[in-house]
Amino acid sequence: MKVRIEVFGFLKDSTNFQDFPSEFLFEGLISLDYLLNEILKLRDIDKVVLVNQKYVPPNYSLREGDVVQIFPPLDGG
Amino acid sequence: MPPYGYAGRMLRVNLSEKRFVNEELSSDFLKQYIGGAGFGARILCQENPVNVEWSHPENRIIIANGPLSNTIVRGSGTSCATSKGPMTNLAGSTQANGYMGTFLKSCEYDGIIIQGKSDRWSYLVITRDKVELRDATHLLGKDTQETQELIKKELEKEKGVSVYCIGPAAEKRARFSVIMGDGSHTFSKNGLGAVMASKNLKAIAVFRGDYKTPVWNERLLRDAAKELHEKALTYLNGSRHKYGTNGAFSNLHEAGTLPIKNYTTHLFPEHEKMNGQYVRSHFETVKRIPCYNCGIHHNLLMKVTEGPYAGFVGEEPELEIFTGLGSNLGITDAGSVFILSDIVDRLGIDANETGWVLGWVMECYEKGILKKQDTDGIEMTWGNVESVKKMLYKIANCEGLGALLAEGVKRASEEIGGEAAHMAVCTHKGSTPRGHDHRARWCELLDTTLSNTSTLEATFGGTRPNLIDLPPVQAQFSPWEVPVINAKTNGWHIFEDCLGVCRFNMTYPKTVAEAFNAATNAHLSLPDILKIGKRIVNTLRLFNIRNGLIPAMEIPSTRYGSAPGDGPAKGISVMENWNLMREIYYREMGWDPITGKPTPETLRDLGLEI
Repeated sequence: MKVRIEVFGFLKDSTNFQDFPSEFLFEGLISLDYLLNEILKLRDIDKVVLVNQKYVPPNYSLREGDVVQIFPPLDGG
Repeated sequence: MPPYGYAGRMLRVNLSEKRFVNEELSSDFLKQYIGGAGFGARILCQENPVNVEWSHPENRIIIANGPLSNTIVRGSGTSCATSKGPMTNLAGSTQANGYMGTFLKSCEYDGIIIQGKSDRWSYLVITRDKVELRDATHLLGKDTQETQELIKKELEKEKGVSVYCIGPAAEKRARFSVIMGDGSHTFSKNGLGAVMASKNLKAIAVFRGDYKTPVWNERLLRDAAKELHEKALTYLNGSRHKYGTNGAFSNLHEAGTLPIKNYTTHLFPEHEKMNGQYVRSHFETVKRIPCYNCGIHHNLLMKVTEGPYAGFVGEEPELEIFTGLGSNLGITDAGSVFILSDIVDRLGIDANETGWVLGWVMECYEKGILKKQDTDGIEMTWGNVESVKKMLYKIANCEGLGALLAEGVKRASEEIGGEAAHMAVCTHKGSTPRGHDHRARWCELLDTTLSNTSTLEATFGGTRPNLIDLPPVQAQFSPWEVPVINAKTNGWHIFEDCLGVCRFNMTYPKTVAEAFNAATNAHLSLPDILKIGKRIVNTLRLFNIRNGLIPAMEIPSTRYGSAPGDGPAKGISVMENWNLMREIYYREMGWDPITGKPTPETLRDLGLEI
């Protein structure tokens, strides 16, 4: 199964993301939180995550062709 | 010798009696309430007579700095203003950056308590040796920038004096008028400008003095200050310095948290021409305008180089002005936001509330609820910058429809009634969110609605509990996790608001704690700090309950709590589980889960009497 990963904003320059593949191939079923926390090791990184431009629950089961978008923390002021 | 980090005294100003008294602060008071927001909370709760209205002379305004004020910590010019405010008739606790906090400390004051009412319009002048009230009748009607310039001219001091004042909107008692100073830094929340006006006080001017904040360990403080500075510069990959806060504009759009046309849509294709990246690369930087000792320098004076307002020179608006007076009003020209921001600042009204009230008017106009004869002949169509300009002056002068709008969006919408009453973005308390669409950001929606400060209390840019050794957020739309995390982390940000430092310079809590301990010799751990913060939150809570706060007020308005019709958070509704979330939050905060009142056990644990 192939999932695309897009990183936005300032995270692109962050060392955690510089070696990120733009596509992930995996077999079987994995959830969004498993991808983020166990495979990409992003548990402690502040981020906003959308799948196919939508918010989904952490236990969302990823599907072929899904696009996972990772944004930096949403600032303001 | 005063305690480390403090002058050990506050200045009490009784405007009715024209009396100025230096009052010593006990070491217990300093340890339990720290400074800034803490001082304000305790004094307001202790001194305001029960049920005194916001405009009553006995309503206190407390302006306090913190133990890091006037030290080498970057951005340590911040102060906090606390009072009972007209938007909610509850406490308002609001910060302003610039120089006031440091200058007040350098005059050997940890803060000012203002009470009473002057018999004529006056402004207060404070130096280390002298306090006086001067006539301000000649300043009436002057905008906030003119007022600052004129006072500095009268005092014969261009630099080395911090002037905070009210504008014409406050003089007319517009409910969301602000106290503004050091340019356009603002005590913006809960209409404290109107409170100051009710005391016939036009401005406060504080000269730079020569008192040095005593510090326990200079070397440790220097190390912590250096680390805080480095972390602040690299936070968000240096975005604040490179692009200003408006660098986040497009991210907000992509994440569904950009407020667009009063929360009616998530489509704003023009976002790429409104963001900080565009503004910084297309408009001309005239100079940077840093706050006291700040190394981020995110504020710029800029020249608009394109669009109908090309040639205008003014301060680059913050993100929430680009959202509130930009996307939320359907305005797609960045230069127009510069103009509107300048007008709002000069008139002295809160830009956030202005954006919500005008967005509501525009939607009402679109739907035919308000017609041209209702809007004083002004066509309040989306994106109509000229109409917005005219209406801003109506609000500030409280004339025509502006008189109703000056009451704030909650009251204005209730007055019109019908469908219009369900279109306002606000809380049932009367406060409004900052310039974001919180329907895709539940932690801030919950915080805004349940806050005791009339603005964000527990969160800023999310919760980031991992930074204070708490588990990170996993599910941002969980009705169980969101209130628990908000409650667990609540206390940290209000502690920051006690220190006298700009939040942008405090991006790493553990180092903030090190800086505080180095300055004061307090040796506080993160749990100790959270407990102090909880004490301050609960002090404000007690004040608010005493002044009529009930759970029915801690609900978002119909529009604020609605499910978005499009965008990333389409269909996600906070209201489905609101009562559950509120109950969980109350319980986690140690409050009765039904009434929201702090339990006797909670108060005892925090050392608070009922």
